[in-house]
Amino acid sequence: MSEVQESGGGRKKTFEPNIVPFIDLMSVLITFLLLTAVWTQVSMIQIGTSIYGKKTENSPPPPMPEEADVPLRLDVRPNGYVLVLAKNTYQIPKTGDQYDDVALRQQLDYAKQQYPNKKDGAVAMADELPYEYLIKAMDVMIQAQFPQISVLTGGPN
Amino acid sequence: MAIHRPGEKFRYHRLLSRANGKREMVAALSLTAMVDMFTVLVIFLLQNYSATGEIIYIPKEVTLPKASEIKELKPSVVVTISTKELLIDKTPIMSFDAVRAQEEWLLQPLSEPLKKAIEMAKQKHEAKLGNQLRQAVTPPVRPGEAAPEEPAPWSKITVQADKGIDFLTVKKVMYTVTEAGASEINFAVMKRADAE
Repeated sequence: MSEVQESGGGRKKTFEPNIVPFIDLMSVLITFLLLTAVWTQVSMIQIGTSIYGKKTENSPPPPMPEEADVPLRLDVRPNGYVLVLAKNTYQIPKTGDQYDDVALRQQLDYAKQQYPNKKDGAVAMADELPYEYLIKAMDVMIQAQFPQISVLTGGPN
Repeated sequence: MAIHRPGEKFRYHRLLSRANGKREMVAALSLTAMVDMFTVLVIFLLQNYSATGEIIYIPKEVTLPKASEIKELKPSVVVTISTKELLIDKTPIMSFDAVRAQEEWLLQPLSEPLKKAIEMAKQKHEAKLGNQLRQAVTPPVRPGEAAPEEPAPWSKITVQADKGIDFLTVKKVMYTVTEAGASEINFAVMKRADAE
């Protein structure tokens, strides 16, 4: 509701909106939003539905990804990454205590240039390493446009 | 603040006028700053609002790893590996030490409740009217044809593990989850701050 005041000669007009309902609405809205707010932003990273996954009797196998015959395997070892692409092997040692994600990304980008249609890849990790490094490796692979990732159970060779 | 009939102006209030030569004053509260603050707060809260709500329970012992290439988490059966114990949704199944000590990859105490949880999720999914309609409309897949891209939603399992847990333990859980009938495993992660 608003109020229009006409003063004296009838020309001057002051317009003052009634803000009380607005404040009421804001208070209710803020209370509701604060009560239902979720502060932790949990998301997920996906292992691709791969040809290596378990198959049930009635489900047909998933279609083979393009250029699946070219192997792309990332080994996470205690001393660094080892990337196997087709018949080539690239050693990416640790820089200090950290895995060299930048160098890995460069190698993966190079792999993407060579095989632009390839989307699948496999990650193998040593048993004693923390799970955090698996997520990190998968994250770099997805960033380099290899989203269909399989996790190998055998560990790096 | 005194309550006035709508339309009455404070500045023309009789208390403000100098009646009988005495100085009397009523201070009218300025609400502008408060309304500004409320507006900013509402905009901030609406921007951060998650329509799906809290769909995952994170025990305080679990620190999730961070990733930037992520997808939105969908409600599903959650297997939690904390440094203390193994849980399905919020129910403790076995202790972490027992999982580590076991040499065999198939974790029997996890397998059975997980099969039940998947079965319950399937029944819940099928009971929903919308899903029944969708199933009636979608033609069945004939053998030899390409499989539908998305696996059954009830058989997707979310695994959330502490970032410091050794990979062998995670592998045992992944193996058991797959053996229990899961078609897809998703790892719960925290969104990295630099991610868009």
